[in-house]
Amino acid sequence: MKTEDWEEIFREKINDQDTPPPQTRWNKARSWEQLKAQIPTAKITQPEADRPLWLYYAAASVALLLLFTFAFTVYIRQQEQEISQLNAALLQAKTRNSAMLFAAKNDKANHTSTKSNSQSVPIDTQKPPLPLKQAKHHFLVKEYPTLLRKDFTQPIESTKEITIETNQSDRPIALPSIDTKQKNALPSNEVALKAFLTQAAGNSNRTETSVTLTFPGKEAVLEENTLAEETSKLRKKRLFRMLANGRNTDTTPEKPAEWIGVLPFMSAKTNK
Amino acid sequence: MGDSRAQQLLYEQFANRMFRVCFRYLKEEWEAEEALIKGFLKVFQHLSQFEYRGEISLEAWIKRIMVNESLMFLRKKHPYHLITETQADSMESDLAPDSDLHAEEIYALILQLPTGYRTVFNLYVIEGYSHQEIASQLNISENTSKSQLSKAKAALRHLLTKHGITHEN
Repeated sequence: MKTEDWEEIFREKINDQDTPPPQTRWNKARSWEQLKAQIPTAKITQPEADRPLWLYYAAASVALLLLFTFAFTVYIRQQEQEISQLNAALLQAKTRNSAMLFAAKNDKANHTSTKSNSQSVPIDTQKPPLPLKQAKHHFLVKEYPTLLRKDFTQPIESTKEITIETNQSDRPIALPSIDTKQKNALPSNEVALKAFLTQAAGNSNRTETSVTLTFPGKEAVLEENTLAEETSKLRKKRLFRMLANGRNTDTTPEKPAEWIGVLPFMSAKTNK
Repeated sequence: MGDSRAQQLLYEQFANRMFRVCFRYLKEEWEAEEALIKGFLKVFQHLSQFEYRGEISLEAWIKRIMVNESLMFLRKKHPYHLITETQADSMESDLAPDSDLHAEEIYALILQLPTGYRTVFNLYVIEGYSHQEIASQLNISENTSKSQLSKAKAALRHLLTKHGITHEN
């Protein structure tokens, strides 16, 4: 008999048996009880096909939603940055436009002042305005208490010299206030007002600054007042700041008071 | 979870045959019972993966799981790579088993073989594995598998002679 035949006989006889081996005392029912006790703890693996398809769609939808939210947030932030840059550019353009308007006014005032006896020079021709960034910093950051001004409510008929002393070294030089609403306080003709402003710079050094203000006269004041009232508040602030910076670039001007009405037609000259 | 009643029916149908398979490999009753329980747990867990390919396909699939479980027990107990190879003896010329030899006698003879011989003999002769598959399953070389089979046959021949089974010379 060949080996293959011999192996086939062994295989058939062994596999045909359906009874427990006689060498053992194995209990079929007992094994089932043990198996049954372990079945609930056994994890039954479900086939992939039984998993509901909508679950995949839901997961994909949530993932897409998160992705779009993230992309939209990034896009919005970029747009906000662009808007803020455009706003800054717009503000600069407005400021530049205001400066140009002021320069034009000054040219006009300078032309008027040359007719008078005083030798006043427009501030912007003597010292150019500060760069916008620096000017903005001075104007917005620093705040000073109101400084008492000398009141000029009496009629000014001719050139007059006054002295105003500031106590702080970094104090902006206060200009004399002129109540333009009181017509008697205004000179009938063009007149120059020279103000000597002393400013303490430490204990020993004192600097003296003189400002010559030229008033074109009552008629011109009344005419220009009408134009000045129409200017915007922001423009007035800019004009005032540029005028103050022309005299003292290291200080910030205080908020203009009633005399701001005379600024558009007033020319000034700073002498140190 | 599956149907408990169906699981019990499946167990009732195949438990005896599968316990014989496990016991044929492990030779220890408690180990065979343990392998049987673990094997049936795997059957219940992965029943959905079974593909019906004929009448005996389910039994063959369950039997393969039981054999694998038994081999896992054996791997923990017996390092096959320590089995030394010897020259194989041929059974062709001198062994002619009587066809009247009872199945239980054959089963008992197989159980008397050493573990290494018995495992390779079971896998090759009874289960029909190739030497390549046996080498892969037991993590041994194919030559070792062949050697173990030859030695198993030689040992079986010796046992048959011992039990009075005549040889054909």
